[in-house]
Amino acid sequence: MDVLSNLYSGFQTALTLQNIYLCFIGCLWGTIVGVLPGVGPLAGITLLIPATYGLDPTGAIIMLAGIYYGAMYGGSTTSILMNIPGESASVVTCLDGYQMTLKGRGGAALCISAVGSWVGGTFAVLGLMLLAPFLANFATKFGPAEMFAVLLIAFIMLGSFGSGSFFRTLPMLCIGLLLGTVGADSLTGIRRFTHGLLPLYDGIGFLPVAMGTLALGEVLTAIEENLSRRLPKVKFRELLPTREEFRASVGPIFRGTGVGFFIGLLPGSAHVLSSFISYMVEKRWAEKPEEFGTGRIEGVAGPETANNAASGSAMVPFLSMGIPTGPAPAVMMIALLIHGIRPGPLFITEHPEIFWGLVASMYVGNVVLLVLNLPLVGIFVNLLRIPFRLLFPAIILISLVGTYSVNASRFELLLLLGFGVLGYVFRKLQFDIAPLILAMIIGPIIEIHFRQSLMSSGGSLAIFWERPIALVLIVVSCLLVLWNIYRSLRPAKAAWEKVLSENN
Amino acid sequence: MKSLFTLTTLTATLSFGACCYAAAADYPTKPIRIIVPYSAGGSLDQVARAFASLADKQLGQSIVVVNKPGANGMIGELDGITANPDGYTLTTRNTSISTALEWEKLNGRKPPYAQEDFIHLGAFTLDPVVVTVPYSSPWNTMDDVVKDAKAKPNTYRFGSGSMGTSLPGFILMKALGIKMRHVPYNGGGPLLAALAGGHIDFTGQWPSTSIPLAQGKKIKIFAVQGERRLKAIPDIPTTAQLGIKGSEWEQWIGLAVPKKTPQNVVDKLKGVAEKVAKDSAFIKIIETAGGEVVFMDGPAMSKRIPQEAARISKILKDLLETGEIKKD
Repeated sequence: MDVLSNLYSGFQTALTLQNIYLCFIGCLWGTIVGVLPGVGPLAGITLLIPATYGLDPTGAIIMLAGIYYGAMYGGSTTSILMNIPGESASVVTCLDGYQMTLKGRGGAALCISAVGSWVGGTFAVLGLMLLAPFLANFATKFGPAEMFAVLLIAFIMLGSFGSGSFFRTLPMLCIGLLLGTVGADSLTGIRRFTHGLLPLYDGIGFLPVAMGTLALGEVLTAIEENLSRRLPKVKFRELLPTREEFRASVGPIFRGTGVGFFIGLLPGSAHVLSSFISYMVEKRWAEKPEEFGTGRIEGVAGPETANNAASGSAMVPFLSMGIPTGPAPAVMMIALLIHGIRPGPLFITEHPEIFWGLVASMYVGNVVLLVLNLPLVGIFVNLLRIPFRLLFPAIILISLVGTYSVNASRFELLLLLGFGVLGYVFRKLQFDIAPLILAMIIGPIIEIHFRQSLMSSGGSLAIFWERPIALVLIVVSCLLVLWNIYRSLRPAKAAWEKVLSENN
Repeated sequence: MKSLFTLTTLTATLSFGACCYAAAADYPTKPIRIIVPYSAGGSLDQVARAFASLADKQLGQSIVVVNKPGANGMIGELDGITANPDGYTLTTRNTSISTALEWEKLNGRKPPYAQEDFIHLGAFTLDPVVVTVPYSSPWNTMDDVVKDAKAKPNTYRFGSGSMGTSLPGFILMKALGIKMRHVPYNGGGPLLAALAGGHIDFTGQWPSTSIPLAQGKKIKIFAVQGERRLKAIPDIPTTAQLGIKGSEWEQWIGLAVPKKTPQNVVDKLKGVAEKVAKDSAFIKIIETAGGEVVFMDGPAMSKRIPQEAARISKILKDLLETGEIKKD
């Protein structure tokens, strides 16, 4: 009952005219920065911090948090409609989302992603509200060994990620892993493959690679085909998902909520991984995994839900421990400090009005976002009416501006263009691009956690089975490998049996 | 013809000079940008944003904080130093940048710029490192740490958030005569999560991030690696008071402009920096975060930096010799 009375007073705070207004502004601004490629929640929050100086701390955090979770709603728009990842957590949405657009189902993909985002966001607040202190302690149980085990599972699932054959996936995985090694090793500062270039010191940025290979690569291939390519005309009725699409999305949305919520809690992993892992889970779960990448609604529903759930649960370590798990919560923490409030383990007991006001505002905000985003679908889909000869240069321009807006680095623009050409070559050779991007993200993190584990155990591999959580996860990953082998042998076995029976 | 040309040049130069003089005299006439050479959310970012939230009223112009991370702060600093020296680009600097630059020199590379090319406006904070262990740790004093670590060398795990912040830990362990396994983490956030979860046994961190966790009984603080005790934790002794010599490590965070900035602009900014440091609102922000405002003026900073750089260079050389770090 304590929770209910707290929540009641939280709603009293959140539902004042001023706070509803701030929540709305935050959500609107979040949607905008989410839609604009490159500009992510971090930039959105830092830009609006000065606007909160005159507000009370509760209003300030309500608005800034609105930007944070609101950005996850907007992120899918350009991914689905133009194959430009709106921000890092939406890369995976490009895979099936853009294919759906080509089939004329872009509107449905946008609708489902808005609904999924709402479910994911709302459940994450529920978790935050009921379990915050407990979950924070759970999250700190994940040390390097456990993180390595989680990532190992992700990496094994990645092997079956591409739509093509194993031999078309493997080279891309390797290239991705190699790209991920460029830059100063974050543990020792030793430089790898930087060739004395200062901009390479921090490695190859992930957005220029993703935007280059996905968006520019797509443009280059498309202009080669036909400049006057037309998409099927979409009537308003057809913007809405069909009953089958809805039914197919229910499972992914709920699984995505779980996956995203869990990943968001982990220290330092942020929401990028959540959408990837959800996609891989869906592909694993599907009856026809080979259809993924050709425009399956499950490939949009799961990841888009997961990144919202993750952005909600990433607030848990920040609010209940004062440990920000990513850069965006870290900036929200600074904003609170400017208002004289210090987040830490005592935050919820010392400032219940802020915590519960924020929780209540997140329920409100998620509804606001749903109401805001569904009508926007109709507007955004109109972008597709722009003739391709105008849309393509626009995509290139948006990618350039988006990349530059992240680090203001001219070097990254060159990277973007270079990877655009590479993306074109890969497409021509029919290699899948997604495994490359994924390996590039997971590779460096898995390496760091592996080395940290060994550094803290003094070089002994026993650390991976002496700790219960790590042991369970390692066993799961072994089972996955066996399952993979079984799955790949099964068709062969059937073929043998067929041959054998024919011989008889 | 020639004289006409000279005349035109002269007029042009004069009017150009006059325009710029006028621009410097009524400085500032447009928004000012502060470069933070690290990603958003760190301790420099915090000071820069606190400064921006108060200095805009004094300067009558809005102040924009821009994060330009990369290469341990060198990319952002390079941007700040090559910006127009007109007072519209300020750079946030700290002690760690000396580590990055000295590391370049020790590896036989020429640093991309010299610290002397900055005019320092003033530093606002001087934070010591605090020595921490997880709350679940059996250790209750510094003596417990030393006793166990001496009994079992290279067994306990010492964490650091980056190369720069591993140095205070290394010099402390050297002063104590103990050795631990070094486990580096990717930034202060992951390090603190690991500390609270007991995945490392011992670390040094900044007060602003550690004190709230200590009050919430997630970690324990044993000592302050600085010249004086901290107001927020008056019971915790300094390392010197515990009889540990030469392990002090304090980080200042301050502002600077490029060398050729006009004198009157520099003077105005110095005045603003000093005023903000005395502003009770600024002091409240920094103290809420667990830090303390200790103002150090520009000349004092410029004097301190070469001494610090020399000390850091020596520490790095010693660590290279003992093999605890390797050249890149």
